[in-house]
Amino acid sequence: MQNRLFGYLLFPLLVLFLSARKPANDFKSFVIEFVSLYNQAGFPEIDYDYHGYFETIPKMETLNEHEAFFQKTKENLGKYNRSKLNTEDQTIYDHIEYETDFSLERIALEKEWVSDGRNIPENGLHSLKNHKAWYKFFIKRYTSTGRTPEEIFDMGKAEVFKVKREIKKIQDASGYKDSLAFYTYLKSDKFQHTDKNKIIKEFEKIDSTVRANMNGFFGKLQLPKVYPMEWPNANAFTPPGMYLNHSGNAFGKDVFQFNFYGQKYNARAMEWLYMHEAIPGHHLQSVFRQVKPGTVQSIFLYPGNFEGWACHMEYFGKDFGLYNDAYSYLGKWEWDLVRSARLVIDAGIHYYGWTKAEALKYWKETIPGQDEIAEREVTRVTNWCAQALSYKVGSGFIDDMKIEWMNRNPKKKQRDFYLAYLKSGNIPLLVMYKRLIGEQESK
Amino acid sequence: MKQLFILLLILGTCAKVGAQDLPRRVFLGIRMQNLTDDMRNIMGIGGTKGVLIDEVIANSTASIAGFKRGDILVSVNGTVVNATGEVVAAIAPYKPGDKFNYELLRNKKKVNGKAVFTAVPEEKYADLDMIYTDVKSVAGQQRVIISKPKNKTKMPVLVFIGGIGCYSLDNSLDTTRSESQLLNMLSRQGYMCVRPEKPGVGDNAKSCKACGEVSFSEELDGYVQTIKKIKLRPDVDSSSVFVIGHSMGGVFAPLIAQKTRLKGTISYGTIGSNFIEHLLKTRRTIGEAYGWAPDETDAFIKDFCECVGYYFVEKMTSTEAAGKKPDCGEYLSVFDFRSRAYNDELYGFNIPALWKPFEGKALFMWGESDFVSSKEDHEILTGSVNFYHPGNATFISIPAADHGMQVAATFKDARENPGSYNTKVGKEMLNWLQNHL
Repeated sequence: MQNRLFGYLLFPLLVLFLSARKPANDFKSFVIEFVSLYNQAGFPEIDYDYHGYFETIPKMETLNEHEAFFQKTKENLGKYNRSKLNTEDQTIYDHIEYETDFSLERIALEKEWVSDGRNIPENGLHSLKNHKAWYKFFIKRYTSTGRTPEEIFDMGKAEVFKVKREIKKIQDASGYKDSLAFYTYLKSDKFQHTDKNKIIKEFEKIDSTVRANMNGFFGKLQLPKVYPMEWPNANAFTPPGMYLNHSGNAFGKDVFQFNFYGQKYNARAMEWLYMHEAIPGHHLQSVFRQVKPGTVQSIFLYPGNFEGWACHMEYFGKDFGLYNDAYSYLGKWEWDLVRSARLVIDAGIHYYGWTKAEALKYWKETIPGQDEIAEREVTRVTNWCAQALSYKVGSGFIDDMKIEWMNRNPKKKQRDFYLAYLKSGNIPLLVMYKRLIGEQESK
Repeated sequence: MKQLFILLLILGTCAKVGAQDLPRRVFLGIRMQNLTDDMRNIMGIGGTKGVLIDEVIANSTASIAGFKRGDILVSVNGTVVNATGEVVAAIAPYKPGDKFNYELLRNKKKVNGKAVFTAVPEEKYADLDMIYTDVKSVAGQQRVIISKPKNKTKMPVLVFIGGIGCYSLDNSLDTTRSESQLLNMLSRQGYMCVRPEKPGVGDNAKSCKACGEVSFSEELDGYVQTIKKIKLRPDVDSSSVFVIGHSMGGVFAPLIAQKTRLKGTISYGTIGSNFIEHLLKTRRTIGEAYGWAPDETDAFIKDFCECVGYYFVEKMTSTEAAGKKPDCGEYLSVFDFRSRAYNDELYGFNIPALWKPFEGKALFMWGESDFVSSKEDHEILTGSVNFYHPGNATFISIPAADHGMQVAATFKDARENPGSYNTKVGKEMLNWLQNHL
């Protein structure tokens, strides 16, 4: 908070400094200066709860200063000839351009909102005066794509249909004709692990299997050990898992935590969770994305990039020697169904103005056997506008990008695309597209 | 992730003199976690005792001493600490300026050192004045924290009285808490907001009787003395003093008004019937929050009835009651956090009668996800005040708000996953205040 306050107080001086200075002679100096000024400005951090985000929108005078900063940055950036930069610098150029344009879009919305009296809508964005533009902004903020609200809604419905079809296939193969009996069976103790040491051993076994198959998917890779551990102080609403690399925790090791609340863990959620949190999900990506301090990549976060990657990788369990057991595979689809329904509900509430009752009705009609978390999910999607989109929308964007890349590079393998993606690091997916697809075009 | 850590702020003296007589407490300045077996295995430290330092806060005792993230704090002045609470207890006796020895485990190697305790920082805002003053009551010397808009005179005053727990409202390093958010918002709207600290907590730990030892009347005296002192300030409108009573604070509100005039009261999540009736009503909502089956809840309430009868009517201790019925030990242990005298006074109150002499305006608020207090109690209070003084009381229920004024969709959600401060609570208070100034 003190840093933020310091930043706000200092900000007008920074704008003056930027305005008075000639742009740095070389592009690298310009980038260093941009990062430094951005860090000193102390812009508010992302608050998942949109109510909190609106609370932190500063007063008009400050917004004008922020706007001047980004306009000046844009103006100075335009003085460099992108085509004369090397490939890496072109991506940095595109990244700064993306952030500058996005910030100016945001500030325009914020200024309008402040002028209109700073009214924070209670139950979703839909009651905002300019809710369509606001929702598009939130989609971009979390997915870093240009997907439209209509596309999100349609994608959610299509994914729900597809996932339910996959679940039905598994149900049919299991011999359960009756869905009620099937879901009752899924809730039985057979699928609850209660011994933590056994869970850890099971994760270690999965780890060995995945590592044994990893080279076939990515080529030769050396990845550091990742430790499974119980999520300390978890509760029923704690997510199923979380990855923390060695710099993100106090014990200095790469770990993923699983929710062992109530001394229970869903046995069907082991393989997909490992894929998501460890290899080839977040742990693998974190090894590639060693972001250096002072770089553009160090000052922004793109959930669509990293959650999209981890979600995307979950679909490849069979390539890594997993999902051989039908119920482990089912576990992947069960969680995918939750993620898919969230897309529909998110767009439903914030864009189409669904009431809570409508959202709950959709949940209950769509997701069998999980009525007890319906309230929680609808509240989460209402308050954390668009956050839940980062997984499926990010994953879908990566998939589309891969297909296009493969079409343009018929002699290359899938692994080449994925390695190119991983090596590109923490950049918005739209910039990733320009880098991977645009780069190919230029060749 | 914040809830995973306990922020350590400890007692002591303040370097600042003149403006405040009561010293500030010391600031160790670490966020820490209890070590779990999983962490010990991953770190390869076997059965080592200690707590894991997750963050070292800048300009704190720990940062000046060179503590690092990932260190394990093993002992303080020779006392081995194996849980966050033990660290708090181990350093409680010290004051800023005191020297201490410590032992850390860093990368599996022992690090021994000496350091000097510094003082906890005060809250600071660009647009508000924060004043740390104190007041003398029968319990001792107590901290009072004031937030107010800059350069404003003759301000209306809002005095915030907290709930039954022995907790501090002095949280300069976590201003996301509902109380801070609410009061800072109200100060920005032109009100002087006053936070009297309970005896024995925060800066009061060594200047007062302990929170768990004071009676209801002794705690009340601290609030009354605070308001009397505040009314003497030249920058306040002493005819416009309101109390915001949160939870048990709402029981203190009419008692305060009997000792010093209040223009109005706002009670959130409070008690409106005799204490046992309140307890029984809320055991049912607690059952709902915990997802118990209806028959399970009813059986619990029947047992609970018996236990509170032993405690409040027959004046047994919780241990004695447990001798009569073993479950009583667990059910009654919550009352042991406060003194026998406190609980007996509380049990003796006829709550509607406390409000009978109150002629000011009263707002009663209940969050619809608050399973710790009941809607019915707030309706009883509203009805009671309006019975004695027609038109003086208003009742408002706040959707999706829990007992802690946080966002929660349901009772269950409130228990398991409360969100951040629900801004609607403050907005409704502000609307009401603006109509009753």
